[in-house]
This record gives sequence, structure tokens and C-alpha cells, in this order.
Amino acid sequence: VTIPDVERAMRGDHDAFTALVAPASGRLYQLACLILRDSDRASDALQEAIVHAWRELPRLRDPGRFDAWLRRLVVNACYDEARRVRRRAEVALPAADVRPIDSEAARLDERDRIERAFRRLPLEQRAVLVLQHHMSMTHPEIAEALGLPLGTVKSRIRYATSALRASLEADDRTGLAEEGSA
Amino acid sequence: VSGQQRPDRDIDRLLSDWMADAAPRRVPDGVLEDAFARTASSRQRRRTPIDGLLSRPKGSRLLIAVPVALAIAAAGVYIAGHRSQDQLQPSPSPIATLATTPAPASLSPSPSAEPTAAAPSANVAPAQMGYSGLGSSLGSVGGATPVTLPDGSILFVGGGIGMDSSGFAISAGSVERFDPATMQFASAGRLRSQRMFPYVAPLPDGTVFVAGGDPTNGATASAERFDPSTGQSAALPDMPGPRRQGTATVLPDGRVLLAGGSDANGNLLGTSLLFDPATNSFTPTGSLHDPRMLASAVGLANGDVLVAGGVDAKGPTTSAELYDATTGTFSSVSSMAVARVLPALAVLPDGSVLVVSPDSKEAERFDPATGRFTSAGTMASPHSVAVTLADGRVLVAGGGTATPEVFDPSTSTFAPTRPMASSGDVAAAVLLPDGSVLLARGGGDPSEVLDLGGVGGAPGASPSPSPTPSASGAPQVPNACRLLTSAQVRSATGLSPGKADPTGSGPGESDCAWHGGAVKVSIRPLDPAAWTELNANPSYTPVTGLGDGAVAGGGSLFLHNGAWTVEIAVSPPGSPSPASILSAEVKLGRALLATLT
Repeated sequence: VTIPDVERAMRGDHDAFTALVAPASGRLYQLACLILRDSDRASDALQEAIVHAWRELPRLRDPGRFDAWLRRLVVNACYDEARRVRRRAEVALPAADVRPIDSEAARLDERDRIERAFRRLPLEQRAVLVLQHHMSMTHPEIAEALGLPLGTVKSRIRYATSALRASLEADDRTGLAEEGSA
Repeated sequence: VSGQQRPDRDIDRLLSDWMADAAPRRVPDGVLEDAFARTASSRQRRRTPIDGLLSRPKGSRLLIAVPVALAIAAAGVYIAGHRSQDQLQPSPSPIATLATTPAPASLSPSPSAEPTAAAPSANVAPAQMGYSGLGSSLGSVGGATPVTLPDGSILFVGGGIGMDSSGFAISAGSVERFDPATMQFASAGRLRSQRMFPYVAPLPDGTVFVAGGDPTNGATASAERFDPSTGQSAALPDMPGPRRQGTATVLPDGRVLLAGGSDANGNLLGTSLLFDPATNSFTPTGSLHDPRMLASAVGLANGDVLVAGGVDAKGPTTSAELYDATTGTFSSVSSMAVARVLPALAVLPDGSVLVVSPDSKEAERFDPATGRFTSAGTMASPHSVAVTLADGRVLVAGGGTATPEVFDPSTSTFAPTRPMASSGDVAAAVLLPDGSVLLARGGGDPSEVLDLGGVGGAPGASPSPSPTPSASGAPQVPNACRLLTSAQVRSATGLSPGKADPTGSGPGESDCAWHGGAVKVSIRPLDPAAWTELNANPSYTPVTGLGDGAVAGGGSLFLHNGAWTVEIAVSPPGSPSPASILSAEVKLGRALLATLT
């Protein structure tokens, strides 16, 4: 992404906009999928974020921060999307392309445990974990991307990790108990 | 790992591995295509610094701009003893010979207001309007409430300055002043605290009441009284509680009605207060039936206050209420057809109120006699600001389009004006003492002045304007500062734009300097008889399409249009003679339009 490209898009050049967004769309879709754990909802969130980005782009003050700004829009779109489906007891299972391909039983089991534990986290905690572990972003980068104070990011990650660990351990205990009763 | 304590680094590895596997490999077919199809068919919003100043209901994004009517309403319609923005009549202009008619009595809500003076007639066709480019403001105009001071200058209070990474304005305590005489923005001082969306109203003694607002991310109860003559602000007692995003309207007795808004947590307020400038005290008054924020309010001729639109508990609202100052109570009136956030309200000569907003192309008109809103026609584009002109018509502008429109209350129709030079959204439109309209932009975008009569000619005059003799007989020419934008100077010189700084104008001549004198641009009329000589000049350069000509020589550019002959020269720093010739589009008056290379 170059600043002149962003500036062209800011001036209403739609081709420039698509050229900016398309290459980043894969990572942004991954971000949305991992946060929402629902392919369809992630698609909707990505679309909404793209449309929002186009409409609001002229108001972007610093073209050099386009990437971070777009990531924030995607995360916010995920929050909005989740609010829309909040009435559901559980979001849908991941669609086919989100499902693991690996067939190794143990690994599948571990994945399922993490999946379940991750789903129990609030969306805000999922977002910081995805940005850290999948997008390989530093704490300051996450803070900028989400518009949060650095301390909030650190504490949110700490709480998220603790919650995930507790959830996994609870899951482990349940699994052991089930094995014992069997 | 089952049954064991998992260290954080183990969790980190598990998460990273799981995410690598769980993340989808590609975007499903059709997702991007659909998104881009939607963006291709939708318009981008223009940058409106006010957008970021507001706390918005969760999950909703509101297109919000700053209607001038909010400024009129929030600032109150008038200063006792002085004419209001609505009432401001243009002083006899040396460059315009407009017919005059008495202003409607209904535009004098204040018993103490001066009788309205002569006003120009309504025979200025929109197509004859001309724009003059200005330098940009100092940055705090966006989101600010403009207040017209007794000397005719415009104070912008409570605006945003700078933006965060999302393009949202940051609160500011700066106060900016626009001087119509020099066509410049300048700092007028600072408030005691930073406030976005405060309650602002002019007070009878010439000071400005400022209360509440959003200092950073919340709301404050503090209040102050800003004195434009000193640039100093004095603290007032706190309001009973923090509030922001409401309306402030001066009542006929000089007190200020503060209605609605939101508290520090974003909760809507239905409560209202009266500020008494004589005692510097706040007292509660009647409450809104429909608590709301981001409404607009305007004082009516009968002393009532109309509060319309905004955001209530259900979102953008169509509802409106009337405040009766004699009883201190609000009463509901009929709803608008369109839910409007920060609608622009403009009082019309018959006492009714024109309502427009960026929410819709449909305009509405409120009749205080019936308490009902009716259709006022359809605009070509939605607009965010409105200002009642001296002739009773209303100029509406902003909203993401470069083309303002003029509303004729006698026919309930809108007519487009010439497009502005920039489509950047307009933060405020304010009637200036000479009858022209300041279309102010924030965020560093250049502002413009719309001259309602065209330069140098009376309405309905020949398409080729001629210099209009002044009382002294000397031809009058426009201020070069109003002809050339800083962008044009930058284009011609490569220098950074600064603030137009008019210096030393004399009869028939004016000049101004950009950026502390770095670039001097001057314009002066030449003797029409010189045209023959100019035409014979070997450096004569025809200007295609004008039937006129330009002569470049000695570093100056001579333009001729009909009876007009002017010189526009651009001088670099320290140079006694011009060395650059404008290559940008030059608009002179309403007839001369040349692109010179």
C-alpha cells in the first residue's frame, strides 16, 4: 500500500480502492473468521467493512495508516455482526472452508478443545488474541489498530489468555470425568 | 496436556497453531465482488470534521455535518441590541448597487433589536453569484459554533482541531475569528477548557457563553464566558451536571435556554436549564417530552424556541417541540416527515422555519401558527447548512455536494448556484455584513465566500461587468485576496499556502500577501483605454473562448474582459517585480474565467 494509492482512492478512484483492498482481503477475512467463528458472518462483516471503508475513506486523516484503519473497521464490523446475531444462543459452526483438513485424531481433539474455549471468550478478547497470534502484531500495533490504550490491550490479552487457559482446563477435567464414567 | 497446568507460552503456541489451521484459505467467491459492486454504486462521504466529534448510538453511523442553523440556534438568534445573523442586512456595498426593500418585521424577534435596515431585493439570480476563494481556517472551524459579533466578525467557538487516525476530530479549546474586512481567519484566544459540542450563545454584553461539551471523552459541567475583545475567558459556576450535544438559544430577555443533550455516559437528557447572564446562574426549566441529543433549535419571532430532530432513545427522530419562555414548558408539535440529526433551521421572512439536513433531499417548513411541518420542496442534493439571506431567500449548502442551492420561500423551490471551487463539505454558512455568505470549511480545507451580487455589477447587469464607480468615482475592484485561493498561489509558485494578509489597499487597488509576505498578489484596474495598447503588445496572448485577451509581460499577467482590465501579479519573496504568472484557473467576478498556461 502506497500513500499515493490511498490518496487516489480517497479522491474517489474506485479502481485504486479495489487495488488497495483486494490484496488485503484474504488476511482480513481470516481475521473476521477467527473472531466470529462463522464463515457467513465473517463474509458479511468483511463486506460491511469494505463498504464502510469506501464511504469513509475521504475522512481518513493519515493515508499512511490505511492498513491499520481497515483492520479496525473489520474488527468493528465483527462486533456489529455479532450484535446482530446475539439473540442466537450459539453462532453457527464454521463453514466448510473454516473446518480443519487435518485428520489426525489427537490434533483434532486439541483443536476442538481450543475452538470451544475460544468461543467462550468475549469478542473483544478474541480480537486481541487473533491480532497477536495470527496477525503477529505487537501490543502497540494492536493498540493502534483497535484504537485502545496500550494498557488496555495488555490487560485484555492477559485476561483472555487466563480465561482461555481456565476454559481449557475445565474442558480437560470434563473430558477426564467422561472418560472415567465410561 | 490434559489435567495439567498450561503455561501461557503453551497457550500461545496452541493458539497460534490452531489459528493457522482454523483460518480460511481464501475469501469465498462472490464476497469481494459483491462488496465492490456496492462500493462502486455508492458515493463516498466528504470529510466532515464534525463526524468524529460526536458519540454515536451503538451500531449506527450518522452522517452529521454542522448546519449553520445549529449555529444560529445554538448561539441564539440575536444579540440584544444587535442584529442577528438572520437579521444581518448588508451594508451598502461599494461594488453593488442593489435595490432595497424593508426587511420583514417578523425577522425582528427582539424587542430591543434595531429596526432592520435596507435589504437588497431578491433579484439576484443564482447563476450570477460568484465565489472568492479564501485561505483555510486555522483548523478549529470544523464542528465549531459560529457567533456573529457586533462588529460583524464571526467567532468560531468549540471546534475540533486535528484528527485522530480514523479521521475523527479532536476536541479543542481554541477560538477562531473571521474578519470580513480582511477575509482572514485568525486566532481569537482559547477557552478555559477543551470542549467539543458545547452549549454556545452570544450574550448581550458582547461576551460569549460557553458551557459543557466533551473535553476528551465524556462531558463536563463547567462553564465560562469568553470575551472576544480580550481573548480571555472567565469561569462561570458549574451547571448542575455534565452535559454536551444539546442546544443553546438566546431568549428575548437575554437568558439562554440549554435544552437536551447527553451526559458523560452518553445518556440522553430531557432536562433543560436557563442561564441568566445578569446573575451568572443556572436554573432548571421545563423538560423535553422526548429527551434527545444532536437536535437543532432556533428562536422564533414570537419568542418561542423550536427544538427539532436529533437522536432520541430510538435513534434519529422526526419529533419536534416548542419551548414557551413565558411558561417555561415544552410542548410537542407535529413530527417532521424525515428523521433528521442536526437539521439546519433557517427562519423565513414570514416567521416559518425551513428545515433541511443531510438525511434527505426533501425539505420541510415549520409553521409556528399551526405547529405543523409541511413539504418545502425537493433539493437536488441533501444539504447540511442553511442561512437566510438578506432578501429572505435561504442558501443551503454542504452535504457532500459542491453546488449550493437557493430556496425561494415564495415558490417553495430550490435553484442551484454555481458550484463552489471545492466539494469539501461546508462546516458553517454565515451571512456577512455585506450580504455575501461565508462558507467555512474545517480540517484545513479552504473556505469560500459567495458574493451574491457578482463582483462589480448590479444584479441584472450586462454579462460583461464594468467597474462600478464608487462615490469618489474611482473604479472599485475586488480584493485580490478574495479572488485567488492559496491553492492557486501554491500552484503558481510552489510555495505553501498561508493566510491571506491584505495590506495597504487604496482606491482602485488592493493587494494581499500570502504566508507572511512570501508571496504578494496584487490586482489593480488598468485604464480601459490601455486595452488598445495591450492588444498591440507583442506578448499578447489570446484566451480562447473569452473573446478577451491576456498579456504577459514584465512578470505580470494582464487580463482583459470587456471594460475590465486588471493586472494580476505574483511576486516571490524579496523580489521587487513579479516573476511568476498564475497558471491556475482565474475567476474574476462572474464573467471572466480563464485557464492560462
